[in-house]
Formats: sequence, structure tokens, C-alpha cells
Amino acid sequence: MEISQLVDQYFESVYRFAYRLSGTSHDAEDISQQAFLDAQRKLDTLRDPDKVRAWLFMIVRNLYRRRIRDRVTHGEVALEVLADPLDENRGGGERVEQTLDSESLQEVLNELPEEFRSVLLLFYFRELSYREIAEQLDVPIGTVMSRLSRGKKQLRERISPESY
Amino acid sequence: MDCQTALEHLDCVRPDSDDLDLPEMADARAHLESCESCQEAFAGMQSFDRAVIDVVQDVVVPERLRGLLLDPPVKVAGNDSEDSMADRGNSGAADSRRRKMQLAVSAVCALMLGVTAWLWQSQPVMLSEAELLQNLPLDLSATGPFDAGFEIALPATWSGNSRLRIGREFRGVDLDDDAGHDAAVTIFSYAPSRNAPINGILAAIPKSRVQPLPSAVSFGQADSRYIQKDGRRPVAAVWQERDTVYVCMVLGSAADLEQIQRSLRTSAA
Repeated sequence: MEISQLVDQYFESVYRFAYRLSGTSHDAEDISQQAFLDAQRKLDTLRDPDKVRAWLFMIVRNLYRRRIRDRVTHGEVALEVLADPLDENRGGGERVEQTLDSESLQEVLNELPEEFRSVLLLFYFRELSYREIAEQLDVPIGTVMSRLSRGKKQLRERISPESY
Repeated sequence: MDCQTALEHLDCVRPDSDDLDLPEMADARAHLESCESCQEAFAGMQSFDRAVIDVVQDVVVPERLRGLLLDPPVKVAGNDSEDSMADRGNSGAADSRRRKMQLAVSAVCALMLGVTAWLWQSQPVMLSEAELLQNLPLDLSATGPFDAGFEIALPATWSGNSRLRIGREFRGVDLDDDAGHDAAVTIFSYAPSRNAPINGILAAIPKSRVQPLPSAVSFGQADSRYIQKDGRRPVAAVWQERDTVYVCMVLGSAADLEQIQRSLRTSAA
């Protein structure tokens, strides 16, 4: 498969995934560009052509994690990114139930730790089953199930049931 | 298997997939068949998941992205051995045409330079985006009232959003050490539903003073970028609307700025 074919077929979904993961269009654009550069370099390592999208998503996810690590190193990351995963008291302020729209979904995603956000997004982008997510992330199935369950609980608590 | 454990497992089932048939789902599946309350809860979970699946894809992809990704590779110099005989035979005539073209282009350039030099004397200094970002102040305490040297209008989407509060007056900023204000600047504060308010400044500069003009034609379209300024690292967006170039600088993260963009885009829609 040629890289131009990859771009044509997947650039939109790669960008959307990167955007949901990073929360900003600036980061999403940078990550998308880097992802296709990496994909071009690693194209011969793609084992299952039917899983190209999932493979690209994993590249995006790794790039995002590297970006976060770099920012932590340079002291740029806000403290909440490093806070305890899904601490019920995070933010401290009043929790407002939101309607389910693109913006409120992003707000809730932004508040989740990366490892929960990644699992949720791989699930909601319908790319991988929880078993495949576990394989890709190299974590036990139980961990994926727990992250999915807790992440979705957080989403459901924050999104008003009347809005879906 | 109890209800809670079954529902935790069932929460991992993607809607309209065959995940429920996976071997490790056998116990949860058996429980589901015999438990009405879990059937109801599972239906609710799947309904929620379908709604999220729809919304998660609702992200506007920048039009220029595909072009950026397919940016043509650097041209490799041609291989002489592959030049055809016909190409070689035509090279003399081609060189002559090229020289004439170069002369013509040089003449036009010289003429344009002369005209530009003449115009230079009578035109105000043009400001680049980088100069705006570098010289617009984050702290307005040292600025005076705007001298009203040009008309100011708020950006189209900046009115009527209850979360956004804009300063009562605009202050003037001289960016070219010439007489008169070149930019009008005010403070604003955006109050998200949670978390602390996001504060920033909004600057308006006549389009006729900015070169090159920013490509974004609305606040929602403008890219966010971090800049170094006064020992801080605000995030900024620059765009043009009608006769004005706007600069929005926020003391926060790119996510903060984009949250405001999304909110104002939504409220304007």
C-alpha cells in the first residue's frame, strides 16, 4: 500500500482520533502529520492490512504519549494531567451535567487520564474489541475492562441522560 | 455471576458488534439472558454508546490537512543519462528563451522596486503577524485610552455568549513608534461550566496595516499557537474578519483557547 493511499483513506479518521486524544486542533494536526511520516517509515512492519486504521491509531497514541512526556520534561503540562486517575474530587468544583455534544464530550475526555481516554477512544472509534485493545496496549484484558468501565461511568455521570 | 460483575463485562461490548459472542463473555451473556434488570441496563448502556459513537466523530477536519500530508517530496535532480536526444537538441533554443524571460522578469522587478520605494515614503509601516504577537501587550495597565483612529467592531461570534465577558473599553497601542494608535486592545474573561475563568486579551488592528493577512477568516477557524512573551507562554489565535485583523491571546493552554472557540462557534450557530 502506498502512503498516498493511506493518507487519502485515513487522514480524516486519524485527525479525528488525534483531536479527541489531545483535545486541541493544533496538536491533532502536528500528530497527524508525524503519524503519517512514521507510518511511511514503518509500512513494511504492518502485519495485518485489515487493521490499518487501528495500526495508525496506535501510532497516533504513541506520538501523543511521547508529546505528553516531553511536555512534562519541559514543565509545560498542567498539573491536572498528572493527577490521580479518576479521582472523584478532581477539579474540586461543582459538577454540571452536560448535554451530549461534540464540545461537552471533549471536555469530559480532556479530564480523563490518558490511559483511560485512549481505551475509551479505541472503543468508541469502533476499531478494536476490548481484547484487541488489551493486545495492542500490552495490558491485561482485566485492566482494559476496568478502564473502559470506569471511563464510561465517568462519561455517563457527566452527560445528561435526556440528551441521548 | 452477579449483576454488577455482569454489567462491568457487558460495558465492554461495542454496539452492533459480535463482542457478546467472545468466549470470556459467556458468563455475562448467560446472566443477561436470565436477568431482566440487566437487560434493561444493558439496553441503556448500548443506547448511550451509540450516541457517543455518533458524536465522537463530530470533529471538523481542516481542509488543508490532506495537502499538508501529501506535501510533494523534494525534487531530485534529473538524471542526465535519461535525457532524450530531442531534449538535448532543443536545449539551445530553450536557453535563449529562458535568458529573454529572465531579462523581462528582471526589468519588471526593477520597475516594481522603484514603484515600491516611491510608495514606501507615503505608506504606513505594515505589521506582520509575528510583530503583532511580539508587541501586543498582555498587561494593559501601561496603555492609554484608545484614540479612536479607526473603527472597532467585535468579532462576529463574540457577542451574546453569557460565558464571555469583555472589557468595557478598548485601550490603544502604538506598534510602529509613529503617531496614533495602531491597535485597540481589551481584556476578556471566559467562564467555563467548571474550572477557573480563562482570561485573555483581544486586539483589533485595521486589515490595511497587516501584511501578510492571516488565512483564517473566523475565530473558530484560527489555529492556536504558543508564544513566548514577557516571561510567560500565552496561547494565541490570529484571524481576519471584514476590515479587521484580530488577535486573541489567552493565559492558559491551547485547550483553553479552543474551548472558547468551540463555545463561541456553538453560541453563534
